[in-house]
Amino acid sequence: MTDEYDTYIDRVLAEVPDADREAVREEFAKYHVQFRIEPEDAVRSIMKRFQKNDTDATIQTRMDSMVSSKKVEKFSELASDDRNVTVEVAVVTYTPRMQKMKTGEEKQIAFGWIEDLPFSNEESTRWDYKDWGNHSANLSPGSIVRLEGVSVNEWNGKRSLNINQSSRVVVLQEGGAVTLPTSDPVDISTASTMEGPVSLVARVVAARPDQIVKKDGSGTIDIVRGRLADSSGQMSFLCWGEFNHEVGALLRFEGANIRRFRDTPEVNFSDRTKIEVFRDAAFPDMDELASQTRASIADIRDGMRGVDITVQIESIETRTFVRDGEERSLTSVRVLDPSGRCKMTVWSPIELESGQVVSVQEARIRAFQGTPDITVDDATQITILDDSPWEKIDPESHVVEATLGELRRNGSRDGIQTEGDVLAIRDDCGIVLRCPECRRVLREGVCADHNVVEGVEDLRLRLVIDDGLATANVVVGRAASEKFLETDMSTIQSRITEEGASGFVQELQNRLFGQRLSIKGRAIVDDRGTMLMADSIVEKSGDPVAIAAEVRERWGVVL
Amino acid sequence: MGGSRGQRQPALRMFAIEFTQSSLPIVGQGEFDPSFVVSRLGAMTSRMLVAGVIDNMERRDTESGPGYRGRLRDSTGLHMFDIAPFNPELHADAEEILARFERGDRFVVLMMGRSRHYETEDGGVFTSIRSEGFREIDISRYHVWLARTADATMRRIDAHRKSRELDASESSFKSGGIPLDLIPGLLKSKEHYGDVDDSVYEVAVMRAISMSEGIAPPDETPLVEVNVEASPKAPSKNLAGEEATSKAQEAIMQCLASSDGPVDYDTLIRECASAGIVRLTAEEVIDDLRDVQALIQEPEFGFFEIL
Repeated sequence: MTDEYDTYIDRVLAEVPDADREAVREEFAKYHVQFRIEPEDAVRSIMKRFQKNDTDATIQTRMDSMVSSKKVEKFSELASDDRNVTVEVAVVTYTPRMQKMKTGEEKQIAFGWIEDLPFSNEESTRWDYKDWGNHSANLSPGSIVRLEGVSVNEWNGKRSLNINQSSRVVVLQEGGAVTLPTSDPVDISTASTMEGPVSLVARVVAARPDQIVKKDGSGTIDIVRGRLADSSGQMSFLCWGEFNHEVGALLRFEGANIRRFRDTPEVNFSDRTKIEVFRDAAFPDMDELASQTRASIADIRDGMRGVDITVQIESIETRTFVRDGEERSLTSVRVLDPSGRCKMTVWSPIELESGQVVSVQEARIRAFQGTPDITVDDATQITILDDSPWEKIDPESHVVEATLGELRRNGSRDGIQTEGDVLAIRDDCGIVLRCPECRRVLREGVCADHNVVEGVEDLRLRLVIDDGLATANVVVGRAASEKFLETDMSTIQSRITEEGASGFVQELQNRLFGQRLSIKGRAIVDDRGTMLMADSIVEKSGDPVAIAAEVRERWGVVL
Repeated sequence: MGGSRGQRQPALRMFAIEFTQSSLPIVGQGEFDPSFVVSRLGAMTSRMLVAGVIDNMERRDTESGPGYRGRLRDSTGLHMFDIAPFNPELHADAEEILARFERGDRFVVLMMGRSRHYETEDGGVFTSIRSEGFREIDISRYHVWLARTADATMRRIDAHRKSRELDASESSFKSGGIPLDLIPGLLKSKEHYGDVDDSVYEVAVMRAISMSEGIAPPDETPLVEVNVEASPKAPSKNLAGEEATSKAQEAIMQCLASSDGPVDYDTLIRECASAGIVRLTAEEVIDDLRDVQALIQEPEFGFFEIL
């Protein structure tokens, strides 16, 4: 049996003749299967492991020459498939992060920038690198190092270096002269639109230690999570390692990194980020920032953490379930504020009544069926307020108006009202058969999940509305359709049986094409556009005189 | 509904004058990339919602089956449109509208469609609309369309004016408060058309608004000359009667004689307008020259040449 490892095993045995061949083979297999490291990249580490008592420098030198390595001075000399490269570089940045591996486990890696020609006056080239081998101790920003056994990675035409577990990093010059990418600090609202390195001046408004549990069970990483704020807004932060600053401190951050978690930007600090106390008497104090760090329902996005929000309770539903042999309770609450409505899920027992106004601290935001919901882990995060900051909202009539463009930009929300002209009536309007199990529409009597089932009749309309700047697909369910069409499903059913489905769609076309509709319901926004799940639709007849007067006023048109 | 198709393009509300003066097509590269016609005001038109009186309509038999062509007139000019053989679901309604048009009925149609363009051998670009849906609307709803289209046009005029004060770059437009949806089109417009005089579009807006407000009903509105160089403050003196007819004939024949290829309908109308002839007269003369005197012919729909 030829073994893919044999060549490499021979190399190791040539260097460490008294090693056991099978043990070396096992080691290669372990590297390959468990660590996902190719034998070629593993040779050096495996040699080391088997000769660990033998630190003779001559052996090391001979070993170096064994593995055919490519030495270059400039990145431009490298080809996209070069492996086992030796190059001297200046480390510009080093940012650790968690990366999900193909196997699903999470692993701490790091990325950053390196520049070639560190000792030359020639112009250097900057490349990205990834550190897969936890070489943080030797990759301090500002230091000059020799990388041995690194490989070139090409992705979308862009080349970078991979520093592998088997790579060696030799520090040639300690990072005294720090050459962090110094840039002028930006405000938080600007930073939240960015990705990558950033400088900030902001006040710490929340900070608490947390841990990341490695998915592979190999332990935990201590981190600090919190929030920063300035007059333009706030942002969550995640600090890898120690964070020795109090809540309320005004700090300047250099070499921080903006990353995105779901729909939410987050600023990451590593021990390479320069954090210093900043003095500015004019900077908003905690009280001022606290008033604006409160979110409203319109602001919340999937993936946010540490959200403080005040909401009015509309309705409550509690159910219990058993997890790990323990009975637990889950309270699902419909809530609203002047900016909209959403759901709140509380994962511990709590007594609430509809009409109450509560203040929620440090909530997480998770999207359910496209709409962001407030997630509360512990009832102590919720305080019932005696006074409502707003006039009591009537849930029956509470909707928030938004244009199609605003819906598109602001993401999924419930409790909205919008309008547009009907420009397409889909020909699958009318009676559909749904799967009794999952409510999915059947295709020729077949459900994608439950195969052939006895379908349940349902009525729905599908339209496209458009206001000239944005469009939305609209789905109108049975109740709203019946109300709008002023008829019931059985009447429509018998008409379709007599005249066929196309007559029904044609009639809708004649009535609705170009018609302005006002729609209340829920908006689900994703990369394919906006979908409106309509609770109600109403035809709107415009008054041309009023609209024209509005237009004149808006643009200052003088006739 | 594959995700790769991206998002549906909104239907831009646009007057005929802005669309017919557009000459910058951008053809989508990928299978599902939309194509655009970029207007002088920087609108990237892919889908449009237009309205107007059916000015002409005819059935066309093509290799792939029957289709329809026509013209739709709004308060600013003419849209050419067609209804393709491969949209048979529209044909029943098209037949009905055609029959009524041929009976002599005149009525307003609201139409949604895709922007298309046609390039002549000498590099001229003509625009038209491939209909995706239409219906007759009443005057009140037409006035609503006029007002909303005036709004959309003013928004583009406003952005265009702001853009003239700014460096032609995405970042400078962004910080200058130009709406994001207009930035790519305005940059392309600037590159292709250079400096654009937008006063003609403002005249279109003013007329549409006064019609919507009922100040001047559409039939009685004196036709302002629709000329790119036209100034709203200098209304032309309109000729009438015999003098107008002969002047119009002269203008049309001169225009056709001086052109190497067929000339589009709107150019002829504009030519007459600048000679002080109202639209209605000009149109009658064109019809007369083609159908009665047989001095000119229409080799391609909407384009004329000397016979």
